[in-house]
Amino acid sequence: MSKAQQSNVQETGRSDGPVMVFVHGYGCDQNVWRHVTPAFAGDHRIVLLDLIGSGHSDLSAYDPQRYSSLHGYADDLVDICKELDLRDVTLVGHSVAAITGALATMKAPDRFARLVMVAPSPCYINDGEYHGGFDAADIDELLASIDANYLGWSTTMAPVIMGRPDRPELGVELSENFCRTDPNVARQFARVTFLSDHRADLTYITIPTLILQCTDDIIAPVSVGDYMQHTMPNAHMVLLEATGHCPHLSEPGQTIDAIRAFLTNPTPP
Amino acid sequence: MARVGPGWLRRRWVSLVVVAAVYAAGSYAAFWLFRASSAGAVFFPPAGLTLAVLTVMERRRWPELLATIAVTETLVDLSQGIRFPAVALFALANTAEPMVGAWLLTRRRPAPLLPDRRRGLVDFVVAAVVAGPLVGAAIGTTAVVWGLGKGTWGSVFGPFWAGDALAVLTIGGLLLAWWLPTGHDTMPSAPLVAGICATVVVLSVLGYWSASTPLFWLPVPALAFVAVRYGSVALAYAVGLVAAVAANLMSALGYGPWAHVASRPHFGLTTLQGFLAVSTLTAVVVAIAVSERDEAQQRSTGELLERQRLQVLFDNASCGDVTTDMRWTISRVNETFSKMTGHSSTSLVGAVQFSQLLPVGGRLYFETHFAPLLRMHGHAHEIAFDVVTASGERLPVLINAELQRDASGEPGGVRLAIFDVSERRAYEIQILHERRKVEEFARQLQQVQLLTASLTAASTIKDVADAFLRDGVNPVADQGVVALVDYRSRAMVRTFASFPLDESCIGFSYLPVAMPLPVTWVIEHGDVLHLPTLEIIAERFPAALATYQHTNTASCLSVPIIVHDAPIGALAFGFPDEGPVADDVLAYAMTAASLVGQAVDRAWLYEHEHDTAHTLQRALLPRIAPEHDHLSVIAHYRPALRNHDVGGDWYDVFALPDGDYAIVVGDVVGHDISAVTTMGHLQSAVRLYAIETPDPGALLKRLDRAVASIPGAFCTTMFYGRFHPPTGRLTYSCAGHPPPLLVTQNGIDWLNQARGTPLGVTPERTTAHADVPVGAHLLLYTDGLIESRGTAIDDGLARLAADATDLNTTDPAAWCEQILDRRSGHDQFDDIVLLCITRFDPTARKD
Repeated sequence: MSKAQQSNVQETGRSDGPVMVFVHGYGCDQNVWRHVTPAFAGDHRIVLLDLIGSGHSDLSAYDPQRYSSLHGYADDLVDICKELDLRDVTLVGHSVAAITGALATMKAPDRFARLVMVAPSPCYINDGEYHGGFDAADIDELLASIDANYLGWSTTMAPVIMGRPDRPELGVELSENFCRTDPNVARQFARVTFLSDHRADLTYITIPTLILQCTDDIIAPVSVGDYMQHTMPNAHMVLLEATGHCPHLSEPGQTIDAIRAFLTNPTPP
Repeated sequence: MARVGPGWLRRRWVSLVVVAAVYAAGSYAAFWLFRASSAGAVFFPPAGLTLAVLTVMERRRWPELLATIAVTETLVDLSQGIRFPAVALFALANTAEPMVGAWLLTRRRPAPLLPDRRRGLVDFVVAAVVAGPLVGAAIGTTAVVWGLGKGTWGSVFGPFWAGDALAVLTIGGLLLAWWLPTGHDTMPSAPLVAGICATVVVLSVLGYWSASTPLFWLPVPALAFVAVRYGSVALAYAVGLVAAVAANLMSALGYGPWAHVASRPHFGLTTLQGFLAVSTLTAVVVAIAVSERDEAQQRSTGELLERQRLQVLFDNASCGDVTTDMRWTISRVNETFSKMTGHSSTSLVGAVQFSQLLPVGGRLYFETHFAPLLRMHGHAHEIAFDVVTASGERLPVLINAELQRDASGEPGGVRLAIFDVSERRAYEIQILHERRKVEEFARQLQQVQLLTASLTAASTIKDVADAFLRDGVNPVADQGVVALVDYRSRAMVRTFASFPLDESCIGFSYLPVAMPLPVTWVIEHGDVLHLPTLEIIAERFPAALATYQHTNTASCLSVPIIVHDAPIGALAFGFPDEGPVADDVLAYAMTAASLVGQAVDRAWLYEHEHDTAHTLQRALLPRIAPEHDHLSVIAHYRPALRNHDVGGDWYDVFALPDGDYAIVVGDVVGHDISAVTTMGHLQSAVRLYAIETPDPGALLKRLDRAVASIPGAFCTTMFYGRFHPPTGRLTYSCAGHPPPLLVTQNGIDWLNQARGTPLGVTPERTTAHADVPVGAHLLLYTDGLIESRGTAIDDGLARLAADATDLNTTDPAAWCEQILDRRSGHDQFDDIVLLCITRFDPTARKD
């Protein structure tokens, strides 16, 4: 099975238009983009995917070793771009996928032309002067929340749910739940997401980058956006008047406008 | 309209008789009391009765009722001396009037609106009070003026209409308000009604007593008071009726302001009836207003109670109820939530975002899972969170959330139902914990099974150690050590480790038992040893510290290997982190030690026996000088590496008294120490028989008989040859052994004549011979040389034949080494004997 199939890649929009790849963050799947992508489908080729271990991806393709860091996911993005022969890509990544996308642009600079980071944070853990917002103990608490909500997950269900992207109806009953994924996968993804530190990589992200930060987001505070804007050589931040961590769900209009302005002029003065 | 009104109305004949009787009574009253005949038209009570009866009655009964009315009216009129055509006209007037009124009142709806409601009153006045009597008055006036010849149209029409209208208003209104079910009228008790009516009568008498002093308004305040005080519409009609009857009676008797117009047709009478009608209407309107106001009050009181009831339900709901806006700012909470969390409503509403009530980790989950889910699906059910209470404690809750949408369908807020699940969460955590344990147990069981399988396949101590280090360590630890007391020298410990034992570590694989190390301590004490920190390791076993540091080991667990109640070794597990050891890890370590102990015991036994057998075998095999008078002999015995059994292979070359040489190679069935002793017996027997029995076939025959008394010798394969140096002739016989190979300058020749079965099977033996020229090589061997796993015997023979041609160009010693190196190795599962005997010319040698 190709990486695109494993990642449940879905395409919409104009097949001959410039390419936009949308990547969801931790806890979600490609559905989170549904208020945003229609705005670009008229003049872009839209590529949506589920990160391995999330959504309707092929769970059997989840290799704990490969996905023990964001590089595994970044390699997947590069693989998908190669398989589909995508070039001059605008990569739109939410939260952890923003950083993953940034790593992908470093790995395959010839594939990616622009980067949109929605509510990103290069490091969630406080570290000296740097205020990421969380301590390691908070992440343990998150893992406890995952455990409490995965209680119904049963290994006997796994063969039904896992590894059947060809038969998504098998997952329908649980599609509104988080419990479709192996809790061990969810736990590891949580660890990888919230314990990664990619601050050192930021200076190497040279392609035009848009940082969308929300005014009221505890996961990715505005101060983190400022830090990224100052660290990345070719990035500028746009502040969205939004509460929470998912402006593409809560304020799709503002999100669309900001991305569109960026596509028109990727390097404002 | 049989559904309403008094019961007698529903009985046909009774109703007709009653109507006729009451009508007649009313008519006579009008004649006698109000002097209707003289005035032509006065207050006429039957008009109210007929209107009310027709209004509540089904239309199909109107004809008989109207007929009854017409007949009664005619009879009464005739009795009063009125003649045709006035009689007919009066009958017509008194039937047309109620018919028009009732028809207008009921034309739009089968059940008329009640005259005790504003809307119903308007309908009633327009249709029944105004319109109906207008028709009646028009016909009645014609009867009076034209039929009776009294008065004029101008003087008769007004009083006629007003008299009927007032009767319809008071009596008709009263009857309808009485008959039609209202459900809300507040008519006071009968004695009180009687008292009120008496008062009105008294006030009317007083008011209408004097013609010169105008006090006729006296009853009006009483009417108003009754209406305001009791709010009963029926009562208002009733007192209006009493006032009307009293006023008309007084006037007819010659009292009061209207006395002078009461006895003749005069328009002035109209004003009396008008005044009375207005008074009555006013009372009715006031009563309606009052009753409606009372009702409204009752309703609003009910609504207030209902609202309070709902508020109580909301506040005391079984779950916490929280409403927020789309930014999660709390806009309302119920009492249950406040009690649950200790947060007061005032401290939350407008001031706090719901997610702020969650601990930080929960907020992460909230933002990454809960909020997006709610946004995407409009609801999220049974999501587990902890809420931080006012006292800072964590309250486990389950949350159901619904997105609230405004009229345009846009998300406007969130409604959260919050359930306290403290007890349930405790169970769940317990269940989760148990499940983890079960899963861990299953995983360890799998590891133990794997380890058991590996250890079963291990036959030497080294195999056992390797199996443990490969499959037994990584389930629980990063590093592992096996230490075993050497069974030969009890003072030494043989160690195997998952890391290289080089200079950077302890450096030896054989250590003295006395060396102070964790494993030697465990062996000495036979007890479990847990070293939780590097500090403790450094303190207790300084000699081991370097090894721990080198292997990034911060804590260690060592368990004894107990065999036959004695500690014969120890396992050590090294962990990268400091800290206590979990129960399941300890249990696993003990299990592994037990399994390793059983395997070591087996390996020891085996190694011990193996060593003994090999020693014996070595002792029994002859030491053959490489050079004889005519022969040089290269003999190799190479034991199998992989198969640790001892084989019964043997060979022998010895000189006989007559100068011949006996050449033997054989293979005893079986692979243990008994096979070695059997081989010893056979070897001795051959040496003995060879002296007495020159013929090889005969020698084998003797052996065939002898095997019966040599345990384990049955089915031994063997080649026996006798070489006569002077002629170079080899006579031989073969008992099921692979054929020797003769290699000469001319080529190779298999010595495959005189073949028989292995020893003891059949007594048929023959002898063959072959010539061995000077320089020729005789190759004798056991099956280990030509057989190996995956190779057929024929292929092995062919390979040997091919290799043998090299003998003519190669030094035989080097050739043998080469062949053996090629045959031995990992696929050598059996011992190999290889003899290369070369004939040389002793005379040539001496040169």
